[in-house]
Amino acid sequence: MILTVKNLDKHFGGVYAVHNCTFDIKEGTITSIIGPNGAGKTTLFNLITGITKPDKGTVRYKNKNITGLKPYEVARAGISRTFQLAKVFKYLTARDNLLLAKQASDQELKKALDQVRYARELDTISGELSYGNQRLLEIARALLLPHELLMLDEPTAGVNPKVRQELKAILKNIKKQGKTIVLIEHDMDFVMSISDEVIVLNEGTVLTHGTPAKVRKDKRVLEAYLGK
Amino acid sequence: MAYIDYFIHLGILASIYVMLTVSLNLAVGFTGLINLGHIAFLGIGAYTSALLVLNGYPIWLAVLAAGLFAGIAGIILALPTARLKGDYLALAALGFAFIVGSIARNWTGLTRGPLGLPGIPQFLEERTFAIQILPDKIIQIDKLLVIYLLTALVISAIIWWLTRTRFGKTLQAIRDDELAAKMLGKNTFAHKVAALGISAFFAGIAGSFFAHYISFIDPNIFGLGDLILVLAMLIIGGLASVPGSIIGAIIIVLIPEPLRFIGFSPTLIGPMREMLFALILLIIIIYRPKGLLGKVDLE
Repeated sequence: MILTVKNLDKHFGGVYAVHNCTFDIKEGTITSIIGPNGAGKTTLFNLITGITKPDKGTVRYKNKNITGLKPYEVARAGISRTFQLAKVFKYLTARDNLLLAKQASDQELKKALDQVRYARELDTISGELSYGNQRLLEIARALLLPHELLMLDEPTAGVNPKVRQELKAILKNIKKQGKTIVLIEHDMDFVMSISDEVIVLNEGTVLTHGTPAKVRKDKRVLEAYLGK
Repeated sequence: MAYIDYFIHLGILASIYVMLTVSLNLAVGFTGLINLGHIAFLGIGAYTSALLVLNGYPIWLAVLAAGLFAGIAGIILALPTARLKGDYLALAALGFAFIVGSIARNWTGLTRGPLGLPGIPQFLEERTFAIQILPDKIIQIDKLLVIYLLTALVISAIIWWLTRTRFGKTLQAIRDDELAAKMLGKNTFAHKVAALGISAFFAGIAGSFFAHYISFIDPNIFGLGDLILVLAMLIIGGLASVPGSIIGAIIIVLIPEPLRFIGFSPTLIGPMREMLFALILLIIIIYRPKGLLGKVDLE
C-alpha cells in the first residue's frame, strides 16, 4: 500500500467535511474518488497534502506517517498534486513553471510537455495560455516534480472533449511508468474507463470502494447520487 | 559651476531613491508582499549609520551595519506577518513603520528625539577629482556622485540578478500562487522572510547613503511624505521590473524640478510638487495601470 488513510476527520464548524474516512491505495494503480458535490473529495485531498490539518486520524505514505506535515514537506516526501482550478504561475513562462518543479534541460522539459500533448512554446507566458493548455502545463509540472503518487483534482474540468480523450491515454501512460494516480472526477465515462479502483465518498465517508464494475452495481451509490 | 552642482545634487538624490525603489520592488513586485513600511528600513539604516559614525566608527563599517540592522528589522517584521495576505500585511507593515518612527522620536537618550542628529559626515572630505584628458584640458569629476551612482547601479544589478535565479523565480511563483509553490516542495514562508530581509538590507544601505549625504536626520524620515514618494516611483516605474524602478525614481526626482525655475514662491513649490505627483499617479493608474515597464498586476 502506497497510501493509507485511517479514520480521518475534519469538521468546519458543526459540519463534518470528512468523517471517519478510511481507505488504502495500492501501488501502481489508478484510483478515482467520486461522490456528489460536497462529499468532501477536495477536503480529503487537502488533508492528505497538508493544506488542511485533520482533527483526527492518520495519513501514511509509504509506511511513513505524514499526518499534519506542511504541504512542502508532503511534496518533498513524494506526493505531487494538481488543483481543481489549474494553478499556474501566470506571470512566468511555461519554462520557468516547469523548472520550479525540477532543474532540467530544455530537452527534458519538452519531453514532459510532449507527454501531455502540450504543443506551445516554452517561452509563452503561462497566463496567456488557454485554460486547457494551463491545465496541461500544470499536469506536466506535477509530473516533473519527483514523485511516486500523483493526485489530480478534476483534471478534465474545463477541458475540451478532445483533450479529455487524450488525458485518458496520458494517465494510462503515466501508470505504465509505475506511478500511482489518485484522481477526483465527475465524468463517469472517464472514471469507468481508466480506473482500477473507485472510491465513492458521501458525506465525508467512504460509501464503497472497489472495481468500477462492482461500484457500478452498488445500489447505495445510485442512492447517494440520485436520492432514494 | 552652480548649475553643475545642482545637477550633481539631483544625481545623488536620484541614486538614493533608485536604491530604495528597486529594493522595495523585490518585496512588492517580485514577491507580492505589499510592504507599506519600507521607509522604516530607510530610517533604521540612516540612524544606525549616523550613530555609529558620530561615535567614532569607520564609515564603511557603518554602511554595512546599516544594511544588516535594517535586514534584521525586515526579518523581525516578516516573522509574524509573512503569513498575512495582501492588505493585512500592508497595514501591519505601515504600523511597523510608525512604531519604529515613534521609537526614534522618544528614545531621546540614543537618537536625541525630535532634535535629530546633525553633523553627519559625508563619505568624502575632498569630492572633486581632476582628470587630464588632453594636454590642455582637465575635467573635474565629482567622486561622491560616482560613488552614489555606482552603488545604485550595483544594487540594481544584484536585485536584477537575484530575480533571475531559482530563488528569485520561486519568489515570483509565490507571488502568482503560493499554494501551488508549496506543492512543488517550496518552503514559501522561509522564502518570504528572506525576500523581506534582503529588501530591507538594501533599503538600510540607501538610508545610510541618505544620512551621509544630507548630513542631518530627524524622525521625520519615518513620515508619510517619503513613503508616498517611493510608492509613486514604484508604481510609475512598474511592478516586477528593475529598469522600471530606476526610471520611476529618476522621473519622480526630476519632474518637480522645473517648478523651481518658473518663478513660483518657495511656499507654493511644496504643495505643487505633491499635486503634480498625485496627477502623475492618477494618469498612470488610469492609462497604464502596470506602470511604464511593469510586468504584473497585483489583484
